Amino acid sequence: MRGDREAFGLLVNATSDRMYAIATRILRDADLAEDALQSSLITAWRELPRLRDPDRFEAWIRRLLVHACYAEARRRRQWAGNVRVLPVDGPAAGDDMLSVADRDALDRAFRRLTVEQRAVFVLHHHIGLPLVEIADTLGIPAGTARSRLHYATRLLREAIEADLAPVIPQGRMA
Amino acid sequence: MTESRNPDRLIRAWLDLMPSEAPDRVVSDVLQAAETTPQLRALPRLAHWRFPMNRITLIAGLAILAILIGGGLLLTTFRGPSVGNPTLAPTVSPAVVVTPAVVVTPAPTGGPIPAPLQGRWMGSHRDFVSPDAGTSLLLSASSYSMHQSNDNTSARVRGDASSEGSNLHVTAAVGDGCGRLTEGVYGWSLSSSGRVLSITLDHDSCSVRTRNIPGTYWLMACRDPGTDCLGDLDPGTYESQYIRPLLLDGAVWSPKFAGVTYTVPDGWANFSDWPGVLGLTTSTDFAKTTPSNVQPRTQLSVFTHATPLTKACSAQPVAVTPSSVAAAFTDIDKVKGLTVGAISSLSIGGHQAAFADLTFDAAAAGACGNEISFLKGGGDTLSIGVGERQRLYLVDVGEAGFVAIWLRTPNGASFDQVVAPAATIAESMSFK
Repeated sequence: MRGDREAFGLLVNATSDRMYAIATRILRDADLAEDALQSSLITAWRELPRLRDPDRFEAWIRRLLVHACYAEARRRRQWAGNVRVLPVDGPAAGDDMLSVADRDALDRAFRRLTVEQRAVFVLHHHIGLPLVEIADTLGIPAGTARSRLHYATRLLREAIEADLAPVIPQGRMA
Repeated sequence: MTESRNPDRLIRAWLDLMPSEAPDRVVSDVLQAAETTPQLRALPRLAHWRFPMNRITLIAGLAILAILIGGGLLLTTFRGPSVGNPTLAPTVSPAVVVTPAVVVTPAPTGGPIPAPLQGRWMGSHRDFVSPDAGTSLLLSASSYSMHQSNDNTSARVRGDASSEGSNLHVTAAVGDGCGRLTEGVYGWSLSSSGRVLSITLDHDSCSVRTRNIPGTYWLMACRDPGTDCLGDLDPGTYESQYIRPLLLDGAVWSPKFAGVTYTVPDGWANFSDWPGVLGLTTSTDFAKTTPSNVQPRTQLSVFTHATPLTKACSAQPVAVTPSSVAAAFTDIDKVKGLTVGAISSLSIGGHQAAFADLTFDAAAAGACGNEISFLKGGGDTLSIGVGERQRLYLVDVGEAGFVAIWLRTPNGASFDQVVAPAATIAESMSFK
């Protein structure tokens, strides 16, 4: 058992940053991301003996994490307002090309996505997973993963393109 | 468009802005938790079906399996009549466990909280909220949290929750000071209507949870998005959570559980609960309300700090506060167009009270139109329209002035239909 714990400790140290990065991006909330990370790692520890193929650890724990994110997102909906939103100036700031208006537009668009759409988007655009692997990780058909990614990407592109488009004054509609 | 303004690049840059380093305390909490958390047993690998099987053998095998399962169900069903409070009989049945001949006992793992339990529940006062305030319990598929009734944005206690049969497992609590992996087990039962949840302690070493989680909870099924209320009610006695009928006029409001206690028969609903107003209605009328139209046509509402108005057409309260409920009715009777019927005295909640039925004489109201106002209370103005019959109770609650209990119905027929149960409810009320 001690050996199990030491091995688990190594796995946690090796994966926790990457998992936290996924959770913060899906949930857009530091507290909820911490809860999702913690919950998924504890579940992983409890269920580790049932993992039959150690080579699938990474995909397995990613799946646990995404499901924990779903649970946290549902909790967030129920506790409307109980949200410590991530600061606009994140730690990796310094990308001069991204204006405050861009961030705001993307933030607002991202909040319109379902947590399932966000998960696919983050796994694809941030982690770089191909759609087939995302579908396998999340246990959904590849077509579903594709449509979620398509919708999310289109919404965010539209948000940023609307922000880039020149402003044309419009009269009040009748 | 320049390359630096490429939307996809901007999106990637935006994604990169967020933190990517897990806080050390989260990792150390997990590793600490692993020290005390048991792991599940590995599932045995099932041998592959190796011998050939024709259709007849397959059907026979399935039939034997069905008989075994059916027998198990019968054994678990014939347990004799249940004993206990009939209103708390669980309708969400715990999973029926059929013991197979060969058992692989899994470690106790919880499933999701059953759907009928998921939602927001009102609870009585607990020691982690402000003095006198009520609480709310939120249950989702995999979590629970407890809040002060008027503050759903910050949980006082929260954590993971799962269900196993009729047990509720709570772990990973925040705010209970017991560590994230101290697991508590509680029993639950749900009334046949699904509106009353009873939680009892099974075992839990965490004293904060044992003090606060057990108890009776009422489903909050309010249509009004601006407040919390219970919606349809089972017959029984209920407490409000916000209205403060004994708060001195002008004093700072804070929530108080059981400001009004009331008893309803079958077929009633609670449609609002505000610091100055508590609203009840019939279930029939409640069913017609929507989140954008929360006012039912039939209302039995309680208003704090009730004061008669001087004129039917103005919202101007009388200059001198009436000295008694009889004097208050005398003031109301002066409102042009309003007819106050016989005044009957009674006691409500130990306070001196009186009631009278009201009608409206449009011809006598003059320029006031088809509706006149006669009383202010709880921040609202009470009025009566053409064709309406109403009943008004005024309760003298001492320094806090008068409490009004007002039955409003759309027409005489509705009035006749609900006045008797409404009177029973009004006269059951007590205030604190």
